[in-house]
Amino acid sequence: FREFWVNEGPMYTFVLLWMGINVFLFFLNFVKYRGDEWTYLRVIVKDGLPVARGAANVLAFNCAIILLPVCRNLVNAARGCFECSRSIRRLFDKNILFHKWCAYTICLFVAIHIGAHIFNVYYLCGSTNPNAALILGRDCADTPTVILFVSVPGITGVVITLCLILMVTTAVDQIRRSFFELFWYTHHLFIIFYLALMFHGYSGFVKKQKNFDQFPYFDDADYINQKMSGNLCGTESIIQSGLGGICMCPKDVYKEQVCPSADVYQAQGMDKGNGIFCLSNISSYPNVSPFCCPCAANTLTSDIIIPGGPSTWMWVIGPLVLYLCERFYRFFMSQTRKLQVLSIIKHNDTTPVMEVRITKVKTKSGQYAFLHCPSVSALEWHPFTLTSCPGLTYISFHIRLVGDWTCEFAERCGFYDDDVKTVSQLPKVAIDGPFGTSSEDIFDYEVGICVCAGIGVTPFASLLQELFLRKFQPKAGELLKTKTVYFYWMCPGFDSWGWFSNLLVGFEQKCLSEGYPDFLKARVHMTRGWSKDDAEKLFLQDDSEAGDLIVRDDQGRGLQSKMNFGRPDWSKDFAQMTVDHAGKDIGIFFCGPKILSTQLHDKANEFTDASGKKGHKTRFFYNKENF
Amino acid sequence: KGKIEWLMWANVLGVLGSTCLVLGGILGLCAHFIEGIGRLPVFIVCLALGLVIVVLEWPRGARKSGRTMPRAYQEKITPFLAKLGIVWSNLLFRAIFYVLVAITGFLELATIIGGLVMMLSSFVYILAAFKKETWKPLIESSRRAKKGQIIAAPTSAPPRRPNAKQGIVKNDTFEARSTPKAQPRIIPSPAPSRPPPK
Repeated sequence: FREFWVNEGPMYTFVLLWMGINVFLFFLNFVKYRGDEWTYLRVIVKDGLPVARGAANVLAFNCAIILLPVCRNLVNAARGCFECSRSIRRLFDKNILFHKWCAYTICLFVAIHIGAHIFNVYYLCGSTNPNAALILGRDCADTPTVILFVSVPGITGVVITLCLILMVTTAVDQIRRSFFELFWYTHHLFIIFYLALMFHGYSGFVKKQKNFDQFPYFDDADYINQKMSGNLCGTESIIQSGLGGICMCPKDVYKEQVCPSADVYQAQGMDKGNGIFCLSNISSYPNVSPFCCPCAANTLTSDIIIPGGPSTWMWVIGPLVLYLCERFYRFFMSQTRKLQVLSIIKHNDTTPVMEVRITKVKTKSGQYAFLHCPSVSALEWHPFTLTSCPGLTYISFHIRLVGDWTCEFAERCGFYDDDVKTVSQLPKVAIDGPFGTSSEDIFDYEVGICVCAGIGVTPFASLLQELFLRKFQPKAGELLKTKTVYFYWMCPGFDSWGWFSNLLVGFEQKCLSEGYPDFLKARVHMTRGWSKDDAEKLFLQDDSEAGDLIVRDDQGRGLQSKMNFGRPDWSKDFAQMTVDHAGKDIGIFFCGPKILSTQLHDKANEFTDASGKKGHKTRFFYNKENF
Repeated sequence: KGKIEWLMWANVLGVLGSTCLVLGGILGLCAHFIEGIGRLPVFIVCLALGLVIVVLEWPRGARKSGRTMPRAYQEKITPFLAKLGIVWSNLLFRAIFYVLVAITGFLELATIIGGLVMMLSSFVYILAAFKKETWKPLIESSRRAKKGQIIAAPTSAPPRRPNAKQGIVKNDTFEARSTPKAQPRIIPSPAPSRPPPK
């Protein structure tokens, strides 16, 4: 468990805190609405009221904080604020996960809230209690379904639920990954969602009884006798004030018609007065509630109840404004910051890859940004990982030309033309970002393990470049903590990633020429083994002394590290690392598919040694790229 | 590529809607038996319809392009749906059926959310039908088996040419495998270097 805690501790502390707040908020309102002021209502609707109100409180809280993790600039800024604490900074990598968890919570409590209110409306409509009509604000003759569509909470509730359903159903993995536009546009229903949410409590449906201290209602005779010392008639002022008594009967008393008529009360010596009668001899009516009053004025009047004010807007207005500011800022930046494409470089791999170099903006390595080209599409923004490092004079992206946007963009950049376009002919682009991801943290670890699969290699292109600049061309006063970098690269075939293997070969040679052969340990895994074609290629290129390949075909340089076939044996490698780097903090950085991520995460927890003496324990910290 | 297949969304809505019907039906039954409110037949019908539809909607159909993520245990239901033929593969039949289901849901407050979602699902199915989409069974057993299968590591190194030093053949096998729209030039990317200090 302690091993687990090293990696997951901060995150689960945060989750526990959040869940604690949720539970607290639920019971805060639950207890509040079991209070005496709402007794008159609870008599009709039973415990549906406190449950619905408790859920409402949780919903307000979650609807407020669900917006925070998607404020990318805010998260980025917050990450910057915690430069000092790695464990807190790692929390910010989970922002989208947290957004999802909030969404699940909202769905759950929406179900509870709706379920409770369905009961409430049924009870109110089915009630023979004359107060029900006043609470509903209309005639009870309406069916529950009509109530839903004519009351403010009802109609806003329908709108909210519809928006939520549309947003949630398009956000499921299959839809989001397949048809991103559908998900993206539907998610903008959040504007209607929040508008409706703020007006949901507008009409003050749940009303509080103002004069509770004078006309309490309990359906428990013992409790009232105890609380009122058995005599309510003593308060002369009430009788004189002439307010109609709000006496209510429990539903079953009404139903069975056991209430004696007014004359019976009077005959028993009870003072009818202005609807007030004595409690002193109530004990002679064991089956009658003490407030089962015979007077005509046993209904609520609007001047003795206080409508509940809408409170949800107070919860959500802050984050909502923050998010709208964020969106406005993004829009503003995209309009004002037009960047020139400086040059494009063509890489000839199985899928063509275009390297786009753009005017420099301030970035950090391993970050990602959203690219937008107005001449290709007016609305589309596409995320790409930066492959350049801060030390360079430009920023670059490697874009695989697989989709319609990327191909169209390549067309505009003249990727398919033979003649080189001048800078002025190249299109202008806008970028949104850059936004940070976890891999920036690699400079804080003495040992770094980079694991990537397929396209996941892109963030590491930038990261390794930065690492090498810091290592071999350090700026003054710049200290590099990292001593060793393991680089695992899993790719399906030899020739899919020519551009990166060129880079990798360059890095390795740099290591050798600078005299740090142990700095970069590259391990390339061909997960599909070798095919007949690959063998042919090996056969043809087997002319270098270096032995194994990734080879740059125009220069014949080869990668020094041995090529591996199949998948890495993580247990063996991790065990070896705990021996080689005993007592060190090792950062694992991963970008790739989920299955491998889970596997690595488990291994990181498994091999973390939290038990040993200080300075002798090796700890693996798992970080995953996500956007 | 990238064209929206509305069928997929309608399916998600259908699953959610029928689940809401089931939950609403259970809620209504509870309310009815505890407090005697609501109309019993509506709850029973909604619960039953919800249960039937959730089973029918559970298996995802095959996408026209791209991979479909199957739901758990859906391969057990898919053959049955495939046997239904045009009743299930034509989306208009389903859309009409769901409108009727939705109207049943609207009769009671407890099932109204289920009815709303079924109505939405029906609309999206009509849209999908107009886009000429049809439901096709997802038969993916062979591909899935292949995916999970672990390919044994090669036991021997790839063959080497006996006299590698001489006679370098132009590596046209490599070139031939990669054919983009037009053959782009390959510019060697320079090794990263820090710009000179200003």
